[in-house]
Amino acid sequence: CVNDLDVTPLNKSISTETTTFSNTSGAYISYLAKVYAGFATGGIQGGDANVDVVGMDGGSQAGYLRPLWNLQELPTEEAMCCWNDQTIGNFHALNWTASDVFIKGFYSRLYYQITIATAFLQETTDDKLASRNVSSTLKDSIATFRAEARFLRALAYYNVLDMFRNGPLVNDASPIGSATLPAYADSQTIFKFIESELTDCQAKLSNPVVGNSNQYGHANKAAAWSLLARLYLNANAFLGTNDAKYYTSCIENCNKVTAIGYTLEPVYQNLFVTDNYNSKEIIFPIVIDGTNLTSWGGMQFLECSATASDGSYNPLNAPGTWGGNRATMQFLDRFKSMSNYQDDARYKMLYTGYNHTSIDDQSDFKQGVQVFKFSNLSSTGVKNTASFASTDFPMFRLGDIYLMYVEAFLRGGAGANQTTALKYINDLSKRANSISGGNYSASDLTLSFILEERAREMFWECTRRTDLVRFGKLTDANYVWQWKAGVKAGAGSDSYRNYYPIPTADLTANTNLKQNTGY
Amino acid sequence: VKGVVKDAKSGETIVGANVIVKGTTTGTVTDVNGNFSLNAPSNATLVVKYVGYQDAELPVAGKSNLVINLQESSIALSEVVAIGYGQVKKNDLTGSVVAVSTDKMNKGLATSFTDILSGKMAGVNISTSGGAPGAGATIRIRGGSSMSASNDPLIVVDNVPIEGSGVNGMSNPLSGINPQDIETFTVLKDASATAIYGSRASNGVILITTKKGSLKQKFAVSYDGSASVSTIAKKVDVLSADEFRTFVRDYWAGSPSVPALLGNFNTNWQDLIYKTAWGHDHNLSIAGAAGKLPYRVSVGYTNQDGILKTSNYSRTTASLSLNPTLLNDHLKVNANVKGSYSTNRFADTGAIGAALEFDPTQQIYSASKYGNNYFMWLKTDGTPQSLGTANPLSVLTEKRDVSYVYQSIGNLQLDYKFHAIPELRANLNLAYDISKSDGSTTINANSPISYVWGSKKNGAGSYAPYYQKKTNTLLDFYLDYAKTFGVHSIDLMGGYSWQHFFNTSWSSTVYTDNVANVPRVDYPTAYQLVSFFGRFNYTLMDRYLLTFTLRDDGTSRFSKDNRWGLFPSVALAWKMKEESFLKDVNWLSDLKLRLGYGQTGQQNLNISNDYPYIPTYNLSTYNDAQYLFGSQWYHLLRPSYFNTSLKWESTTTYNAGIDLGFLNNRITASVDVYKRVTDNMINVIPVAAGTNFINEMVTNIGSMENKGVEFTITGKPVVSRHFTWDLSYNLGYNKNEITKLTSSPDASYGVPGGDISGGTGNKIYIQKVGYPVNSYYVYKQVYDTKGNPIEGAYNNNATLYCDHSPAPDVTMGLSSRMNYKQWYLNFSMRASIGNYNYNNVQSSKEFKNQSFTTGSLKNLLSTSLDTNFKNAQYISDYYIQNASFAKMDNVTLGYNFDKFLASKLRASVYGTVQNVFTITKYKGLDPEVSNGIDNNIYPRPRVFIMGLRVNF
Repeated sequence: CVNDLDVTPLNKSISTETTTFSNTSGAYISYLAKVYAGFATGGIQGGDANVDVVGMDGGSQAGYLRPLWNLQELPTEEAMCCWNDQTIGNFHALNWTASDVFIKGFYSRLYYQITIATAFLQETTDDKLASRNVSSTLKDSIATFRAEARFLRALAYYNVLDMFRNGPLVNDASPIGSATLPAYADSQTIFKFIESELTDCQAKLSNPVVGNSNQYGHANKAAAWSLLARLYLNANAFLGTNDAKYYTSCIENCNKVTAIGYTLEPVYQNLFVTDNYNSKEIIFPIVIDGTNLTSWGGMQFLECSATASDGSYNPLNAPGTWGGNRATMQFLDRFKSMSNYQDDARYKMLYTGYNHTSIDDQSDFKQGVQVFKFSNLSSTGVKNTASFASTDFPMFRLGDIYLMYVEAFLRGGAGANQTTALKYINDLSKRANSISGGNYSASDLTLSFILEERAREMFWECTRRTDLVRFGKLTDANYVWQWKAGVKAGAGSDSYRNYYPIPTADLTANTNLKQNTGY
Repeated sequence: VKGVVKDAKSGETIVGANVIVKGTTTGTVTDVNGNFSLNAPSNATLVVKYVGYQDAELPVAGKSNLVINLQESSIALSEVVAIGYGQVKKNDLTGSVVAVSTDKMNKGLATSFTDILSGKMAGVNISTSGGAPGAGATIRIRGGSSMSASNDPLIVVDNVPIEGSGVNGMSNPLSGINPQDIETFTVLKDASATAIYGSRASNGVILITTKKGSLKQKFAVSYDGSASVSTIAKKVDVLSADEFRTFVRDYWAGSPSVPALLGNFNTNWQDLIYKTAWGHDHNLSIAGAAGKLPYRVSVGYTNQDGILKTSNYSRTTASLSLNPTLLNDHLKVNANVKGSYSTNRFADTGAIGAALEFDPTQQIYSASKYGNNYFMWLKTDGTPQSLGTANPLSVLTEKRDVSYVYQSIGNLQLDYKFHAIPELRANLNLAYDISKSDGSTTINANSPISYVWGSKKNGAGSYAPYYQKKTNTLLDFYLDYAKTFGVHSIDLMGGYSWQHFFNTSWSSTVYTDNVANVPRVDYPTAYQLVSFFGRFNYTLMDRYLLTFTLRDDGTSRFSKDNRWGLFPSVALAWKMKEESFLKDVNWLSDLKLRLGYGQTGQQNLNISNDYPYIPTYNLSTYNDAQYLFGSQWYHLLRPSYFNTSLKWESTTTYNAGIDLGFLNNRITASVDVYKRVTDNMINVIPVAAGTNFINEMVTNIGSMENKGVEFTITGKPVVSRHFTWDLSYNLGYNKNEITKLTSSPDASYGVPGGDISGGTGNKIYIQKVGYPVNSYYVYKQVYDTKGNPIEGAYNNNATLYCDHSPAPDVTMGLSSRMNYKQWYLNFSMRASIGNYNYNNVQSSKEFKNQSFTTGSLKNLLSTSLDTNFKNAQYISDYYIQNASFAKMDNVTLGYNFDKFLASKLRASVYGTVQNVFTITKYKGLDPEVSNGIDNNIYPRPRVFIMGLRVNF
């Protein structure tokens, strides 16, 4: 009768290690699917239900893409939120604290992704696979899965490095589910870890395929190179160093990607439509689907929050109208510095029809510059009828690789040349402006041009904060936009705002950690 | 005839005894010296009655000076009180135990025992979740001892501990027991009393005994029925249509498109969603003895409409109890079966909030093709506005949320007194507790809510059926040896308990547009408790009492290493009144001191996982959360978080009490002082990032303290021949404080909680060391010289601070029963002091910009014009409002007929008003909000009841 206390779960959908994993592929691929899906939706049920990260709102705080967007875009000229959701206003005001729930949510998501990817690696070791009599064919595909899990873990660590600089480090040997506290790692250690993991895993990742294929969704070698390029481009900002070798490494990885044969999407808008899975420019997407993969964060948020809640102007068929995020009027200046900006397809995504580009009332969505970039229409204008957005998010795309190449070249990296750099810039310009674009000459290629061109090309694609930090502009009192640092005219802020604080919750839970300087 | 009435044992004179000439209505009452005089024929017989004593009859027999000695009634002397696994004489109690029989309670419209227990006992707080028919209630005994784990007391019905969490589709899990069948409640409050129930006793234990037949009883039939009318007591003050038109034209003058949305109608949405509701309740019971077999059978039926349109609750109950004594009184058999069938139609309380904010200038119906003829907001392109408010009336009529619930509890208890050793008893109890619910929610296609609520918002209708079944089985066995050796009495008990809890459920949602059908999957789960327990009672000279109990509990919820928890308790009592120096103090009829210490445990994690220590994987079956590789979608396999070191939460209670009785116990009082410390608190706290598959997890960490005082006094201020008055007052004070939350002290650390309505993800509570559980965490509002809040202006550089909590400091109850000849007048009052609410109705419905949001107009509370906020100020302490209150729960006026309709029937006719009045400063509709977040609470109705009770 005392033995009755030894129980096993009755529910068939809940299984233990031994009943989950066998010598067939099902569990391994479903597990890998979960590691990917954690970047797209908050849980294992649609609409961010049955969440992974708890104690906060599943869609808006505990997912990946929406918090990433909030933390990367709201502190910049590209976006300001008019809602009253908890501390959301602190981001544009460069005034967040270590107990901020949005920061905690994103940090928790990143480490959740790191943990499940690590657990996947621990569950698929050679010994374990051998004990389950896994065939050599399956073992080979699992080896690729393992490389993908490593890539996804490195991607999450890249975000840790970019946002927080320092943090706990877990690796393949860390005991999950035990009380052992992970060690504190500084930016240098985390940087090294990402670098070695990506260098290591890219060998086992599958070869890149351009456009839609039976490999769609999987990260391939080009995804790892793109992430390495981004890591090296920002290395000096992350590490507080000034070493040109990183730009050389950046260029090296950009060159590997461009050699594959990716091509710019002829129509800029088509990078952001419901059938963008056909794009030959996108290197690695986060898959989103209105029926099979639904979330209130992610693309749903990017489309709905950009559209006025009265539905008065909804050119891209947003599946909801939430009236939340718009850009400041200084964002218009990034375009207006070009003489021919009115022909630019990217400029045409901005809407000023509410005739009030100055944000006087922060809570009024119709003040400011509305942005219509992510579309709920197909490339041929077919409306998506699902109640959730169906457009994949381009995590890495060729346009970004071009810009990284040019910038690394301008910053003194070896392995690049001016002719290619100029061609890349003109290709991007021509693609955006077929009427009068593509006329840049070598003298136009300056770093300040790149910062502006990145705003024009990459706006709302979750890179702006990183870019401004790299250029030393995020907290700069001479580079301001409306309501920067909470002042209507815009103001500078302390340099520790270049990174976020480690959330109080983890500092309390893990006594090995140290708070970031300034917080 | 003159005389004096005395206590036969002590010789004390008795004040207020009734002396009646038998067979007449002539009579009198003894005076302060116990004397009486009345006119009676010399051959008459006098009948003398006094509460707590046996009636005495004495022939006058020509005498003129009588001495009448009353024997204390054996019932009072041997009045036994149920304790866990046994019973004890009331005056031999060592712990803090309160027993009340239901015939002494003022009942209103009671569908659950929680309705009648409210306010009757010090330290027992009962708060209904609202005024819906059949609504559930929160019971807190001496505050809560846990933070994340359950704070509900253990409820034991006829020796069967029941599953308190209920089933889906039943708002009150305890309503399966018809309160009319209940004989007594015993509440075990301190650990010395509850520790015998070990694992589940940290929050107190309520023992319920139902009515039984008895051998002495003659065949008796009784009927108890009532009809009720429920009316809305109060509505929220919002702008009228004309006021709203004026406001919008003025406030939105700069945006002409906004006033253009105004309609020309005058619709009072609150009037539309509420109604006057009828209900009726019938109970029939038959009790007696068929030869040697005492029995009681009862049936009950109740049907109540709610004041929110469409809500209804009906219940049929039946119970049977048989309690024969066999084998020459050596084997006592106690068999009980209780069953109930309830049907619920729930009205969506979202209609309440919608009625406050829906534009009063719009009409109810419209000819638009959207909304099934109900008016709804459309976008400028003519399609439905998905973020608008749903038409309040349509929320009720276009949604059908019904459930059908069966519940049954049954047990067979055999108590055998050994023939060879009559001091030794063996007791076996076999029991089950089953609940089963079927329910569904249907939303009509094209209804306003099909565009505004849920995840689809495309007009698709939905049908969401669900099912749940819980089967709990129990086996208890114990041996008890009781013997008196001279001045020593001992009672030794030891036993074993086995309890299994099985639960299976499924739910599913099917949309009429046939997209994303969710497959129907059963979700079975179970857990197991195994316990060993013992108790030793020792009494010396009937004066000094010692109780020691020990329970060893095992639960399947923890890993092998942490599975068992040992919970001891000890209590001492000293019956001081029995000492020689008090024996002759006549005014003092009882004095007892009690001291107790005990530990209890908690394994109810309040999470749905019964296997929290086992690493498991969960394969999602949801088609709307898959990932794409190539062209194939894959279901997600997720590792679940687990905690191998999870163990028992333990609560240590210290209790000191004193029981007093005066004037032959005409006045009784008791005072208890207690301190409760919870350690290894089951608590959801952050997990170090990178160590588990979640960011916050249930863990044993932290401590909490409850300290309090309880006082109860019961007396009979007036006892006379025609008029008697019983009065009972209780007071409880409790202070709760979190003393530890993390392994390393961190004053800045807090866990936010308490979701509020408004914005996304806003929370209002914090759990912080040094403050009570669920302290509000808000900004300090700054006011102008006129005392009006200044929008967005907060003190201390806008840092959040802890401001009050939903728990009251002091609760009080007052019950009164007056009898005058055949009339009776009873009332119950209750007060709660120091409890604060977060007025979420006000914070989300009075800021002026709210009046035009997401393309539609929204009405505002009338307070909007005073508060004058333009934007939402959700976390201002302006909305933390003192919700102290005093309520008159019910008043009953009745009349007892000795011979009803000139027959042998005894009958009583009564009228009751429930929820008579509330005295409060609180600005919201009703200050009584159990979790303190006041939002869309189903208003508690004022109920008028006419009832009839007939016995023969």
